[in-house]
Amino acid sequence: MKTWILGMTALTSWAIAGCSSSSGAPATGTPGTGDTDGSTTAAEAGAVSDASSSGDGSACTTGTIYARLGGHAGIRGAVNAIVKQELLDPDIQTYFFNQVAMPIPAGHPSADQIEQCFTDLVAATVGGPGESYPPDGGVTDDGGTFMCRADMTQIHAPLLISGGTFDKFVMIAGQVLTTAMVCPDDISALAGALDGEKTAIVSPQYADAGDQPFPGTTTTTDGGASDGAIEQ
Amino acid sequence: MAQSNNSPPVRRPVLRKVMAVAGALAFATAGVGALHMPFARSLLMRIGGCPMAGAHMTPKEMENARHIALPTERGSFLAPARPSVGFALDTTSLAEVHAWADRDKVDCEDKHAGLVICTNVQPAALGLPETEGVVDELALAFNERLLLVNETTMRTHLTPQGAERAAHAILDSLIAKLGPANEHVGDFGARKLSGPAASSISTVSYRYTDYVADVSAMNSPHSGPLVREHYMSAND
Repeated sequence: MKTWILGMTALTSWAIAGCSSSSGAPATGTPGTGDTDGSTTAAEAGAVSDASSSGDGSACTTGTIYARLGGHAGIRGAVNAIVKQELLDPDIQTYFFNQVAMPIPAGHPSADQIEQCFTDLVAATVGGPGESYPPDGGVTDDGGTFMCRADMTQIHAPLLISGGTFDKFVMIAGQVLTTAMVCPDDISALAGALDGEKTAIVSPQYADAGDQPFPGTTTTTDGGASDGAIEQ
Repeated sequence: MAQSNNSPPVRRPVLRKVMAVAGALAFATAGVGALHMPFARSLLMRIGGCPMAGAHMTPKEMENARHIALPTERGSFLAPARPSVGFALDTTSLAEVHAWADRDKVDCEDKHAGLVICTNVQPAALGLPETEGVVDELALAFNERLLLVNETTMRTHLTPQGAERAAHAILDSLIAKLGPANEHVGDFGARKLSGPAASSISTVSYRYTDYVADVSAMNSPHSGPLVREHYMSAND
């Protein structure tokens, strides 16, 4: 469970560190959600196989997490889908500035390379057969080779990520996985994993600050519950 | 700094220069700080925003990000309407948002070129009913023509009942304009939003060839029940 937690946390932390939408091979599979009007449904979260759908609930108690997520292809699809949604958020996308620049600044990985690393990490930590992280020799595509990294603090420290930004990232990831009908217990495991690595990803001086684009400030958020109609 | 009677005369000009530089730096710091106070932000926005903020992102890169994700987000049909919060996608300009913030005394800041963040926005300022609640953060992103193309709202630290009320008000408005969502998971109910984070998530999505909309609610471990809206133009 601990390695799974680390892996899934790395999943989203890599995304926030510079992962962007992939130009690589699309994931296979179909969305597990209904499509009431025939229009194309959201994204590649559908790479989660039917076997992993929470459907009638029985599929969520069979097999391994790796299998329920659809294996390597399914995990890659989930990564792609989450990153695309994160990229569409005006705040979160500012942390992906290198991946959306054209051309990508020298020394920085491409979106596809980030997602390859990300997928390998998650697949390895959930015990996928034959999966390993970091992959020997890094990940290679037409743009060259990138050596995947594993130190979450080192990766995220320059990004000055606030607690509020982290929470929003988790929410968006949870939204994608929920839409894809990922098993609730698996989502719980992922949420717990993310929360467990929050201190490695969030900059301490920004821990109490709200959701904000890069570079943020240390402004704290207003606390206290609200009835939603009138801010107290 | 007191001048010591024992200091050699040759050091006095140096000390005066040091004090002058320190004074100038202190004045500049105070001036920069003042420009970032709420009362001066409209002036700061008019002169181009804070030069140190979000130095990496420009509208061009924001558009790159939007277009990277769009191909897999578009639906198959044109939207019957393209509702958003307070403004019109592909129509409202950056200048109009600035004018609105000044007129309605909304606390907004240009985080970088093409991105405006407003905080603690009262529903009336956005033409919304009170039931939708205060918007803790409103993010407005503009394309290279400085027209609004992407918008999100966040309502955080709500009670489960407050989140349910706000979410249902938002959904009722969307359903009235667009009909049922393409995807709908969860009931946005207070009971669900009182539960553990992962099982508390409710979400609806609308996908059209020219429009994307998402509404989500979740019981965040750190922010409590929260509601997020996202409205985006899917036009090139």
